[in-house]
Amino acid sequence: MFLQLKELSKSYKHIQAVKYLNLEIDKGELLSILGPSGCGKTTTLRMVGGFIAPDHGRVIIQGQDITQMPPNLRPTATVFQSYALFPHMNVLENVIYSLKFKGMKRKQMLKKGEEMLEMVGLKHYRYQSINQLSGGEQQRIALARALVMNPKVLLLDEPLSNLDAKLRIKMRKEIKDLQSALKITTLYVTHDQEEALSISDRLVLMNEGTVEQIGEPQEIYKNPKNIFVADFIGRTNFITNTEGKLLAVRPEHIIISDTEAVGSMPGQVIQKQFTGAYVTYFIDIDSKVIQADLPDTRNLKWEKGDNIFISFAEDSAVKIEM
Amino acid sequence: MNNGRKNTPNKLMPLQKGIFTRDISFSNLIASSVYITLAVSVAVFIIWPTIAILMESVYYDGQFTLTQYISLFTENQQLLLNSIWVSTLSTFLAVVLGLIVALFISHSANRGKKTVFAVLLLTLISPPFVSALSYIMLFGRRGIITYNLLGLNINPYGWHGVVLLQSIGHASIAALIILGVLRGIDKSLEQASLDLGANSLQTLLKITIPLAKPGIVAAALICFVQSLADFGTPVIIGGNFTVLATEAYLNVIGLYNLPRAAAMGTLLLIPALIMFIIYRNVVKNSQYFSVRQSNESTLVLSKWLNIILGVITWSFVAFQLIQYITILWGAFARTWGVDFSLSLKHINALGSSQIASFVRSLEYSFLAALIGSLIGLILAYMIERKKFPGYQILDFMVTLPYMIPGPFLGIAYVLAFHDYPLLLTGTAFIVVVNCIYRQLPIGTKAATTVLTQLNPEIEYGARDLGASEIHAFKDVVLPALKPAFLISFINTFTTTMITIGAIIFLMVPGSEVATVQMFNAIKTGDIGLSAVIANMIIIATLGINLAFSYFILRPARHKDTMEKEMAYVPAIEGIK
Amino acid sequence: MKKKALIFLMILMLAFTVVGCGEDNTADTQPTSEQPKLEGTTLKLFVAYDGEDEIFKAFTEDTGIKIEYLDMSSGEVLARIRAEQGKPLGDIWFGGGVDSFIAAKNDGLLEAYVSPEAEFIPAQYKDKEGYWTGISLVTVNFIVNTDRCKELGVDIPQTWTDLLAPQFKGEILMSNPSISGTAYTILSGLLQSMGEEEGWAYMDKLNEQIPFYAKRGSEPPQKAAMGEVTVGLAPDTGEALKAEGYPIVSVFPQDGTPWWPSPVAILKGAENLEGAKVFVDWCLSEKGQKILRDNCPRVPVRKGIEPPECLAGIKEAKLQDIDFEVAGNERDTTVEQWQEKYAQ
Repeated sequence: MFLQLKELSKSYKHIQAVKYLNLEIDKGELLSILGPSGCGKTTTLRMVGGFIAPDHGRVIIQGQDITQMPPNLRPTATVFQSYALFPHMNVLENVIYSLKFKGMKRKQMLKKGEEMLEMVGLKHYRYQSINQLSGGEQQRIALARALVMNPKVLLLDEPLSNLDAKLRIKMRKEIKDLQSALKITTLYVTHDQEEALSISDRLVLMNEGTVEQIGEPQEIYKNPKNIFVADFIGRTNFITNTEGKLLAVRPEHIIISDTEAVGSMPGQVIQKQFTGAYVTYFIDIDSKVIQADLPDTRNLKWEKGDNIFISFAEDSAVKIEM
Repeated sequence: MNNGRKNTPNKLMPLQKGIFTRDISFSNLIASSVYITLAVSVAVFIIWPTIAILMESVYYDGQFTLTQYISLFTENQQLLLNSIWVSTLSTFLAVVLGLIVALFISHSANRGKKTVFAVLLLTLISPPFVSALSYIMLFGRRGIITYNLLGLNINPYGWHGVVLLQSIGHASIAALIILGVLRGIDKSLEQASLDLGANSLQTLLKITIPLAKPGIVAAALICFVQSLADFGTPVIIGGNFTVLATEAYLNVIGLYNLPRAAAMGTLLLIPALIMFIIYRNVVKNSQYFSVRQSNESTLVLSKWLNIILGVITWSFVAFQLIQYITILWGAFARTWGVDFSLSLKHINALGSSQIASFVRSLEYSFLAALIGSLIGLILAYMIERKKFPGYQILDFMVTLPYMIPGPFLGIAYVLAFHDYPLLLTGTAFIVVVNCIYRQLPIGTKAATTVLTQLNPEIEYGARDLGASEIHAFKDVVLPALKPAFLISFINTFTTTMITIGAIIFLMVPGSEVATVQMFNAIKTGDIGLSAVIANMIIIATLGINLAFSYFILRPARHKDTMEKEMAYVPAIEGIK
Repeated sequence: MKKKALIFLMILMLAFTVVGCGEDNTADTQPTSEQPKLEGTTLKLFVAYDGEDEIFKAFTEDTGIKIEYLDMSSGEVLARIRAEQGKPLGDIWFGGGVDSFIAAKNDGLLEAYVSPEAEFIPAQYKDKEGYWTGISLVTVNFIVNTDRCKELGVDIPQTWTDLLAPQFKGEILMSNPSISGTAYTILSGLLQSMGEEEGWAYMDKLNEQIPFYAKRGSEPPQKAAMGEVTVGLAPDTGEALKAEGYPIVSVFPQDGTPWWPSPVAILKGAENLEGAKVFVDWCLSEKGQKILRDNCPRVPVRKGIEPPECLAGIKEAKLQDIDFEVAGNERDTTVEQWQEKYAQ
């Protein structure tokens, strides 16, 4: 493995932000760390970058223990949430900043800088002041700045959270493209699970300082290990079956029918929401609210107040350990 | 409800507690007359003196002539050069020192930051000449360090002493201004720099300090103007080395050559004006730093950097503290330079004249603070909110004293008010007025800041519910302005207590204040007396400020103490 | 809590102001012809005199009239009242160089008053018409720091010529004659006794010895006492400084001691005219003269009052022959000439 986090821990006052975290990331892998605020993902990232000193544990890159190293000596590069572009320098100067400390000649620095800008498609902006750039453009500059120094590990701290929805989708594809092209090992922190699901090779879900589940996106989505994972990733209905076991069923697997069948449950539609690609029904089953997603291609005749029956295929339900 | 009756609001509206039931036009009348009175007073007490002094310098024996200026530039070149030399050098040193101290507080890992900060504030509220006095006591021919300790016999008078004292004296305000800017810098920029491979020193040099440029420039401008206007230090320890400010002083006090003094005063004003314009346009509009409020930096400095910053800063602090200790000692030393045994001789020798002057200082400061802050409030409201006709001009007029050097305003007042119809020189009234209008920018600025953050819809709400303009002001705006009033009060009080630059020209028997007495005592060489007066002023200002901070400011905020004390800084910029 | 503290502070300050204002607002007097009650009134003084506090305290005890004063060298006062053109800035002008007083009289800035006590004052010490009256005689002395002399390896200077010794370069302090009566009298005295040409020649040389010109008459002796310079040209024998323990001696310059009568005068347009007259009377009275002498050791002008002990040496001193009228009339031109020569 390329990047190893061993027993990494950090507490603040009485709160343990990160509890004995163990992670192994392969070379060229994009691993997302996902979780609600306060789960410890940003703290973890900062410990890898060297901005926070762990109370316990080690950070190892390519076999080299870098735990004691100050951030400027580590082979990591960070893209900050606010991009942290230097306002008193233009685009090109921002990008080539790190190369100064590698002892490169000016000419070489400029060349590399322009190459990098070319890669992110912003070469024509190289002499612009960064204040004149849009959010998406600033993001790309920040990325270029981090990548130009050929870091062994790229650290991204919620890089897209300042962008609007559409731009976010566009940018995450670009980041993914860049990352795979360069085959650079990446740790990507986000609270947006759709983002994490879409671009990660693997995904780590953290909660209160510990790992809840780690695995490939599809695996996590399909087979959440516990309530937290099931609830955090996507939307889930929690249904207790006849044997008293708790089942997690995704809304897209709920079947609505006018007629009763074996194993189906009666309920009443309380709200119908149109979200574009599909319609979500909120159904009252036994005083619990179940969500059902139906693609809009069908004839959706049920309206608020209708009495209906819901059911689901057995293999689409996941048993949750309590 | 109306029953077809004519709707006369006066009669039908129930009498509610505290709300007028008078006609709207009446309240407008009150508001208008208040506005006009204040506007006129600003014109009379700020603009007219400025015009008077400008005129005096060019209008001579019935004709316009630039002889005064020409003679200054041809015969007194040395004078101008001296001024520029001293001011430039001391500004440079002050800003460098201020930068180091500011970095110490914001970035280093050393302890005792709050102490350093407190010392910085202390130097802001100190009377003038404290450094000059202690300088003589320590480094004079018979100074305790140069003579008693080292057995040297050097001549301390001259420009080097002036530059030294001005540099160290102004470093405080420079540090505070730069500190304010440093704190506004987005800390993630420094982290990014580290992340990209720069070490802490490189980060400081390439990122932090360039981003602090607006603060550095602002500090330099203010130090330069203050240095130009400083006449006390050069008078006392300049010896044969004269600068524009001292000559202006001499020309008024000694020679009463008013045209010449007026010309000098105007020359003092010009750089101040230029600096002010640069400041307004360049510095204030800078987009260099994000508004995000952050506390201490997370940039970890290397060990050596910490040590260097620490050594320089603590030396600075030590130097300042030594001054105060020296002054304190001087008040109790029997005969400085000869007999250092402790005695209450000087305190006992305080005559009724000295005590009366001190009490007068307190009175004037209190009056100026009270009235000045009130006027500032009302003016701010009229300019910011009501936008009465001509408000832009009024706004400019009100900020004018900010950049006017003390001696200039003093001479201007003498010229403006020593003849009919405004025969006011020789009264205590004019002294207080001078103090009020000199500090007006403080009160107005504080109030303006609050007002811009106050949602005007609150006032509309009050009006909607039936309040007249005056009541909207009284019930809604005034309470919100209270913090601004308090800040302005304490700042004006302090600055008036320690001011001398303007009012020294207005002294007559019966209106003498403590700072002038102190000045006279120093000139005469009465170390003991001047030390006693200095201490009295320090204790009074320190005491009032502490009491104020403790009782009034502290409960109001629970955040970082330093942030609220930063409120002092913009107010004291340039006014001494 | 916070509110109470604020109110408390405000009340305290308000009380201060009220009390203070009360002091300032002691009844103003009207200069009427009858003798109004003067007790409790205030006199405003410009002062260039030592021991003022004690002197004024005694006066107030005797007459009940309060005194507010401003320390100001006579040259400054002259410039000021000239510029204010007779506007009443104060009531009494107390002490300083007689030259300024004469100049002021010529400009019509003084109020004539012949005190009944004036008949005890010799003619040469007062103005014939009563515009000013001397209250004591001031002599110019060298105040010499004996420690510094030892360090420099020189004898204590006894004459004006002695001051020109090379060891004294940068060691002599004199005030600016445009501001200080003492300095002006030195200048005028030298010019009159040596003659114009030689006088200015001497001043040229003396100027070389002086590092800078002090702004007040009392500064040179203080600086000499403190050792900042070796010799201060002073308007008295520095008794107070000696009493403090400073290592100084006073020397009457043996080749000519400048001197002058230090006057008191009423400013034209004085508000408290009656009180001012009382003050002048008091200064010239037996009691007043004694109090003045005891608090500021100078030779009293009044016949029959003994000079203070410390000034016994004045009998041997060779006093210069100075025509004060001339000194006063030529003040402006002389000062201007001085400015041109020696001021920056």
